Amino acid sequence: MPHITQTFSVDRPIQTVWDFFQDVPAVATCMPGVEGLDSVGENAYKGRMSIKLGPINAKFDGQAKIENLDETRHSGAITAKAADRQGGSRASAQVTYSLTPEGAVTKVDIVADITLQGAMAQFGRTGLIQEVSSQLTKEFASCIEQKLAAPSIEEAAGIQASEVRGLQVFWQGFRGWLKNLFRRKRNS
Amino acid sequence: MPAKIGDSLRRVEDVNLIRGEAIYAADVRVPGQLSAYIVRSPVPHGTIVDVDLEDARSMPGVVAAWRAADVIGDLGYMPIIQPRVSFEEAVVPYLQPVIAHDRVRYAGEPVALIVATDRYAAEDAGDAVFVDVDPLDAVISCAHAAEGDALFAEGNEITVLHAGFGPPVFDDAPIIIQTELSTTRHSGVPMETRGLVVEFDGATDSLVVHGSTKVPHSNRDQLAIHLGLSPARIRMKETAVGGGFGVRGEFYPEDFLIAWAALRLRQSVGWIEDRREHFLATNQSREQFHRAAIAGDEEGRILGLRSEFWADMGAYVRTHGIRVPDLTLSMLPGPYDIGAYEGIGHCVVTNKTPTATYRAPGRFESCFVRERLIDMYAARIGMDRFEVRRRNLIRPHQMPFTRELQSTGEPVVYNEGNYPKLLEDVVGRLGTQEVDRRRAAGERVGVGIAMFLEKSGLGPWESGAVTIAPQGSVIVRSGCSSVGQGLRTVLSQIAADVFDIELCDVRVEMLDTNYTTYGTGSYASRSTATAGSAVHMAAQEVLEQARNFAATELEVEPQDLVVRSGGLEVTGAPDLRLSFGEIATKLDPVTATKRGVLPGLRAEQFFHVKKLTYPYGCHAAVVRIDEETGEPRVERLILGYDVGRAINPMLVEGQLHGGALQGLGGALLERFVYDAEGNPLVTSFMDYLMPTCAEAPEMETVVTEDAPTTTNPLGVKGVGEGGLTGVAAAVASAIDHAIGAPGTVRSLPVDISLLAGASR
Repeated sequence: MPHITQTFSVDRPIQTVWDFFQDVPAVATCMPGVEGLDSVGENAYKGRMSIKLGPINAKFDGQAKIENLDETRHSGAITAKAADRQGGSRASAQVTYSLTPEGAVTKVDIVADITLQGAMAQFGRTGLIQEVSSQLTKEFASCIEQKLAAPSIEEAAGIQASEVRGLQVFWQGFRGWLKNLFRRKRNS
Repeated sequence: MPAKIGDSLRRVEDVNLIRGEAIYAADVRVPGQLSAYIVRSPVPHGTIVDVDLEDARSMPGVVAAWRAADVIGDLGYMPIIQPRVSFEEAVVPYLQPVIAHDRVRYAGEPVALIVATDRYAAEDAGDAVFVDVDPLDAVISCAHAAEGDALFAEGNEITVLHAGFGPPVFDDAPIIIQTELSTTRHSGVPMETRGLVVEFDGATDSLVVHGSTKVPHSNRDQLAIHLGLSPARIRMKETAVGGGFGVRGEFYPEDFLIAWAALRLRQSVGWIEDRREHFLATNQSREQFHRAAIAGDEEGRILGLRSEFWADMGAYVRTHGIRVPDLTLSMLPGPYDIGAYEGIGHCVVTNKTPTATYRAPGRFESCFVRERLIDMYAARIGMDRFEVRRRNLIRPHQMPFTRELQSTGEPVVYNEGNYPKLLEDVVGRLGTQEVDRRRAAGERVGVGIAMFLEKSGLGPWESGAVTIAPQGSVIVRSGCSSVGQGLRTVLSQIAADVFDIELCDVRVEMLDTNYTTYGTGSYASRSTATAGSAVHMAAQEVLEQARNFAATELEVEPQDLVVRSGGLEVTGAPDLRLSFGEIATKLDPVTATKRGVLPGLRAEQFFHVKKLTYPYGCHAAVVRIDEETGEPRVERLILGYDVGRAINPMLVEGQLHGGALQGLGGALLERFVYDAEGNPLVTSFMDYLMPTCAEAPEMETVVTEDAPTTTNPLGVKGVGEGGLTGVAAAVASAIDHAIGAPGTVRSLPVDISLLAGASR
């Protein structure tokens, strides 16, 4: 089960970031590959996320539920479940996130336990999923920063995650993984 | 030059293969042939909610899309793949249905079948099938399978096998060593994947199955039962085979599904496995975890062996899967005169691809366990590893040697053999001085040794038929199939030897159950010993028919005739002769009826196996460990093996070389990895490492004919598996020696990370 921790900082005060995080459809536009997000009840959403990973082109249709929202500690949890009808891959995720102020900057910590089954799972082992998620997070963070910095609401709405091309993600992920591998070797 | 038994002749199969003219299963084309694709479960364990075929059915080119309910709807029952070997009642609940109905138990289990006008259409439609599964926790560890979520109501432990003899020695023996040893899941990976074309013959309302191999007769009978047909309406035809290794040719789910589709559509259907499917669907093997022990005295006398082991059967018990733990149990004591033995084999199910035999089943695993224990024992008492073996081998004067054990339902009797001589032959070839010199110079290099028994000639019987065509060529058929081992050459040579003719004058027909009504099959190193014997017997019978006829024709006594150059001639009067072709021509129906014999020259014989034979082997390895990376580099492999009698020494060597390279794969490279959720992580050659010529060491064979068997008329013992059996054990032994740390290698494939930092 890939266990992923990601941390990034947004150059905005914590309340601004927290408020923005409550607007799930807006946040979703910053997640590469996410489309057609619809609300299906309180704090529940359904949508689709496309991921290209090497030879695999998966379109995950699924549902996500936001739970344990804690205004005072600025934290929350997301439970998500999705399946790629075509390739037969399945994913489920338990995500917790928390926001911490660091001066005028807000640190965002994400911890995710992802269970993958099917073709996509074959990549979990090599740490590629880890690296790919890191690429996606970087894109996500930069998109959020741009959105929050936008002078008007209209402009903010226009800012979306730039398309992260599958092969590029794959390649960057692969490079990161390879670098790590050699770092480990040298240290041992 | 007439071909003789014992000549190293080139394989008759090869010209066709090298020219690219061989017809493999996927090359077969029959009129109106459709293409099938199997949709497989992406999830290792779960309850099937729905298999949605709607989208697939409407796609272009799709002729049919079916799931389990359609099979049941058509037949009124779900066919369950039956064992083809003797089995305990306990395995029955664990047998595999031909298609998953309400539950999936491994990633790759068939859940739907698409038939379309071509493979592209079928595969695209397969992608449109959504398999909705409620996942369940997967059971992965074979040692802890019993504690995991139950795959079956009967529990995850199928049965526990027991074997043993001798008094309890593990309480008070001077030396007792206990350890854990394991072999990892890998398997036979033939270049050609599985495949078959089932031709529907409307004129006779029957099926012709092209591409069957290994056990066509048994598969025909099983298919007939599942389809509710008479076996006479099913014809199995052999094609060229790109490797068998025990995994290809058994009755798999697809062997039913494709035939059922053809019968139901009244149209021919073909299917070929792709490599990813092969890694998910074809039998895997070898996964065992042993808690093992050896007991001995201070003088190098082994007093007892013990192992409690867990054998991972995968998600179901397939046709003969249970053979692997059974053979592990009976072959573990090996060629040693050991006073006491206790074996306990737990057969468990896990959410992984089902398993069955792969070349040297149960011997590869048990040899690794036994030989590792002996090395550890030698190190403990400070005795040379070779010397410990010398002191414990069964000696020639003890033959026949009876073990108080059963194997495949038969008592274990080693009929003949000179084990100590083979050990000395191999040690002589090995010559340790060179390695000693290099070691003294600081090089991390070592020698390893392993001794083992094989088994060959499994019964119950085999058929062989010989016909001499009127023009003179000899036609041979047998119930064994050619799985790439050179069977056609061997049978040609056996027949040619009887008639004193050239190899090219013999034609071994491809197996076709319409001509060879009875047959057992090609597995367990049995083809030469059994089919070879049957062909030899049939050829002898034909020779007698010819002799009787020729004696009358030439007005001499039958015993005055000798075989020479494809004919019979009168001793001392070579002009007075009749060729076998002339005799066959003369024996036309009119003449034959006048003489009161059958027309032509032909005979079919059955060789009945009364006793198994136990060939024996000794493998040695020289391995160097790379100083920086720890990579073990196998420099030499010495393959000692007693075949009793070699029909074709070159083929014997070829079998040993091929087997040894697979053994090397199992020792150092090959393994199927599953993650904690039961996902197969190895589904392509990117991840499944096989030895190539770059990894192939120098291989030297020491083939002896010291102990011809009396269990068959040729004196031959099978050689199909003996190149593989001891390789991993010998390599492990050499690695321990190279790094100067006995007992380091306890699992296969060898974990190189153990060796990187290890110093001598």
